[in-house]
Amino acid sequence: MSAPISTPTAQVREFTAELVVRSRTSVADGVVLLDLADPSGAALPRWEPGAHIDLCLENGLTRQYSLCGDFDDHSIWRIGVLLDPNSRGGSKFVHEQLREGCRVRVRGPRNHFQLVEAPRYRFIAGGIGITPILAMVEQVHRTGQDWTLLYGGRTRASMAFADELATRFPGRVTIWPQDERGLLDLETALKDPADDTLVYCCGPEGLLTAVEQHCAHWPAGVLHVERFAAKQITVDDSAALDRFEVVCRRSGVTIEVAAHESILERLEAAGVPITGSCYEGICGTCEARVLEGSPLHRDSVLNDAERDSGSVMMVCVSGSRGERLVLDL
Amino acid sequence: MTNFPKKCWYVAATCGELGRAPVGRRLLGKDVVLWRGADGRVAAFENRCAHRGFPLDRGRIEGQTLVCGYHGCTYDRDGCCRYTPAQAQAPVDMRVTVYPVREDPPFVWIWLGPPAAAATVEPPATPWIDEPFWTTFGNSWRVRANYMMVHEHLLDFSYAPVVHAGDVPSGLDRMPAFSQVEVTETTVSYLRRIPGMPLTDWQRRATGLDPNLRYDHSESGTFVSPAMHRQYWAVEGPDGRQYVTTRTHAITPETEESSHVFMQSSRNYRLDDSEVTAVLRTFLDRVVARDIEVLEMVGAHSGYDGWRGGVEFQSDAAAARARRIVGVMLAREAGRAPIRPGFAPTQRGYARGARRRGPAPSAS
Repeated sequence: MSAPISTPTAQVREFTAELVVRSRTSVADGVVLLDLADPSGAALPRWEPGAHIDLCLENGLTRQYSLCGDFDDHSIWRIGVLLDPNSRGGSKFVHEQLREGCRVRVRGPRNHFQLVEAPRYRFIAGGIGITPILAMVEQVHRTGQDWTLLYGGRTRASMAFADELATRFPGRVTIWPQDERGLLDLETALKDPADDTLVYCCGPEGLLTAVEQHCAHWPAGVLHVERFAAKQITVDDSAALDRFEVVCRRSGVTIEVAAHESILERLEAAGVPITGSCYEGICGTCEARVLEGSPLHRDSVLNDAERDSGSVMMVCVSGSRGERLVLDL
Repeated sequence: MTNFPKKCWYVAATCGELGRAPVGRRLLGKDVVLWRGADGRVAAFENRCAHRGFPLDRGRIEGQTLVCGYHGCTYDRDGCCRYTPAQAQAPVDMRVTVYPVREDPPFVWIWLGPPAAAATVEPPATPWIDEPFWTTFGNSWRVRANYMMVHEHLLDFSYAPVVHAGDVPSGLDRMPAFSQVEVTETTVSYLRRIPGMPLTDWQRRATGLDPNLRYDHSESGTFVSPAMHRQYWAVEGPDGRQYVTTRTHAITPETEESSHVFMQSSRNYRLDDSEVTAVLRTFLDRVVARDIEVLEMVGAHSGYDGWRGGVEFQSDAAAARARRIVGVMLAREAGRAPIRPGFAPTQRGYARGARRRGPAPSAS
């Protein structure tokens, strides 16, 4: 057992497949449901409520969509896509190009919106943010926990699944179209903190910020949110160093990273096995465990407690406060 | 605090084990009795009569009921006591705890988590064990090591030239690095290519391929769930055909320090040749004996905390990912925490001593 191993290092990658659009249904104003399947009918990887996948579109864009179908059905992945009038080409491409029978490259699934065990849940969805909540509702309905859903949208016609949710779960689901009822009444919904209740919220940034504020007096760890896009993070870059060292303990590799460089890109260049996807600090794919050192977080995946723990970081955008970071890579 | 997810189907037994007599077995720390009624259906109870706590596996099966060997309390498959010889009517609501089971040959699966959640998860399918282009034999054993040590041992085969020196191709003094590791939310798969090597003795005897040639070998596997690992050894024949020998390991925690392993070995070549089965049995018995010896030595000496507290190699990438998948499941089951599942160490004792905090943020 002498010379070092000379074969290439492992390429860790997420499950990636070219799937076919089996069916495409319009379910609300500007919202299409796509059922994606393996062309040969092979089973797709299992997923848990809250999971999302990447659509790697032909126009070079990668977009994340929550899985909203039946988690027991391994033949289909279902996503709901809202046509965003300000689309940079993601939802526009899906709406205009992805017809039934089209092929699309898909990566994942991954989950940053895990449904954690609790006796009671308060779900809050805004617009297309209903998609991950839909699978969660199905899960807790089957396991018999107590739950309610507050679902807001611009108009009733724009709210996917609103009618079937209201019909199937009367008494649990409150449909709240803004043109009929105004802004969501978060004040009432989140007035009384309960020790046995978890709050799950997915929707536009304005809703998430409002829910975060209304949950400020709730116990820590109660609120779980999923964002569509990068949160505006204010980073105190005065602590940033010109240059720091990243030690990949498992690989036995040490690299130098300059302040303006991405750790992820430097790791890839050095052949260290790591996955990356968005390079913007949104998707969480490049998450690395921090063994020593203090990361300078610039991502929008981690919550405050996770940042403060200093035990994990997104290496695509984040840096180091100290001269040395030791990562579990 | 145990490290096995409860919301998961585990294998309790192989179908053939459940015949005329009840079988007692410790699973996930619980004492369970498994029995098959005359109608062929399997049931699993807490192994404890509701009357005096007599072990029900020491009783007997009568028709569609399980009869306690002490006072004759007779339970139907729903766990209700229907009859007791001591009085005319069994006490109202006298029952034993029943665990959901599924029989999917060759395995009997059990759910020891919250019963309502059993319906939200399916046990993994193992079609190759029945498909006609595979032939399969099984073996089961118990190992005094935490179930994740068994998983992680199987997910990192880099010790093969050390532990199984006689059973790897001659000249292979180290395993090559993974060629690929593929992850999903709930699984991790890996592939190692080992090009241009001679056949091992067992491969020569099992496949019947020309021993004078060199072949492209591969070793691959999948962490399917906390309850299952699948490993493949493949040799590419001269005609491009893959000679695959695969081991499906159902791994079930017995206690925190011991595990049951229900192994099924399938091959896609020389299907009807019982001599090949004998060759593979002998080879695998040898491998398993050494695996058990290594795991029990580490288990007794360092335990799982010592095992996972060590310095990790690149070849541990798949095992580290499996540990993370299990960590997320455990954190989900544990409930509310400021740090979400998947974003921090979720298992105690992780990399002990390694998490010294770095320099404090400073203005310099």
